[in-house]
Amino acid sequence: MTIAPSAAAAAYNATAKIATQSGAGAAGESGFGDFLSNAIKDSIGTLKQGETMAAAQAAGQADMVSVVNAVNNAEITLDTVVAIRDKVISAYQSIMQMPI
Amino acid sequence: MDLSTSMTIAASGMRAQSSRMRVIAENIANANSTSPTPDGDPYRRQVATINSEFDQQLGATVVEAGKPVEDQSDFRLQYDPGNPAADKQGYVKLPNVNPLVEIMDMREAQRSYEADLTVMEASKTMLSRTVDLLNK
Repeated sequence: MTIAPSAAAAAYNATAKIATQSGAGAAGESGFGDFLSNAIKDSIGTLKQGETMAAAQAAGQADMVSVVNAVNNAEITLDTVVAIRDKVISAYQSIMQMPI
Repeated sequence: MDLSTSMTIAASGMRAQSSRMRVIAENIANANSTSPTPDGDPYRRQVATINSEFDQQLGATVVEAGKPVEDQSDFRLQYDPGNPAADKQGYVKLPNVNPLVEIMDMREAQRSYEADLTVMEASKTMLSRTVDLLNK
């Protein structure tokens, strides 16, 4: 059985069209990319707040409890971001190592 | 997230207890402060007030230290004619601070602070153990 290269190209084009359509529909509501970038923006804000509080404490302008709270939040956020990043990278590597 | 909210609530409790501790420290430090003049009043004991307040942004009820209120009970009188603060009969007005009461208040503030610390620690452990699930 032989497959014509033109038929294969047509099948690929059809699949790609479906993929882009569904991708566009999902991005309109809330795509995974949007979710990820929002989460990362939030965590950067939390980390910055922790840093600001630590600096204020060093200048003697903040109480210890607020600093501990802000730094704790920043630490947990960073841990979460790192864990998710590791997970995403390992998923990517699994896909890349997949025998074709 | 609920767990980080509970950490913020515990932090507000710790802040309130430390402000209460400050009032107690003032009372204990001033337990013997008399007036420099015979007709003046000595140090008046302060009572720490603690109020609950709804935080709109957080969506939870947090603790706030209110303004300290003066204790209106009578001053102690002690016979000490040599004291510059003594009146004509030789009595000196001493602050209405009872060190025993202050020590008990201090213990209570300390225990409440420890309770808040425990809540904070537990919430943090719950959060980080959950994040640890991703690392397996």
